[in-house]
Amino acid sequence: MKSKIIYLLIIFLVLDLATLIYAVLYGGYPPYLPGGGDPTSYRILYIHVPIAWIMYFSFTVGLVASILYLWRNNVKYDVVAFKGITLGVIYGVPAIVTGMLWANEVWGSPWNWDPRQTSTLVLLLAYVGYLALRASIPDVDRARVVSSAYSVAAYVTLPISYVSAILFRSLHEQLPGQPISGDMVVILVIRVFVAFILYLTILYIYYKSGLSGGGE
Amino acid sequence: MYWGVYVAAIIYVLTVGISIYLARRRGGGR
Repeated sequence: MKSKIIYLLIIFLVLDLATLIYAVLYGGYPPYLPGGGDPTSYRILYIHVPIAWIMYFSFTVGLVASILYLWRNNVKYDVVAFKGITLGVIYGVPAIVTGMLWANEVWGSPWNWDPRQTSTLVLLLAYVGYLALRASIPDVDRARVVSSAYSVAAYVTLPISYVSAILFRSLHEQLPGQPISGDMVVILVIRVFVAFILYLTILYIYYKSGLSGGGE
Repeated sequence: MYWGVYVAAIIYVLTVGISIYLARRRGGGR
């Protein structure tokens, strides 16, 4: 079973890297950008979008698992929440950094205190707080309960981050408004799909390692 | 091509690498 999941991990990793290299070298981009800047910067989309969606998904896994833990008091749910949120933070940092690389070229400066940038930074800091809080409580059972309750509260920052670009005057474009052609959508969908199955495999292995190692 | 695309790709590979390293590490924190 263990070796089977490792084979799957290797297969998905190779697929992920292959689609990444293809998207970076041959991925489509519009002939020009409405706001100016190098149109090839559009290829960042094939990297930034999967990472950002995985980050949102990870924190949502954390929310659902935390609620289940508080409800059912089963340690397995807490392990899922902790692993999901840890991966969410790991994907959250590059979500912001790749966004900054895009902003640097298209918005004129890497950091603009744009509503999407600011609210995503708050989201990330809220979940870094989860990891700090959890590590700061010596009693394991207490750490589980407190951090699960915190994770439910911290999730409030996620919908704010998600809708910030729609509700407020934001530089951040939404996909429906993008000058995006059919072949670009295909590459983007494949990138998101492959990055997601790789992420889910990593999360599963991470979850299992938490159980086998006691998760402490 | 815009240099940021290459940097973004390297950052992505590092992210996946760190995730796999953490997942494969026994115990994986608390």
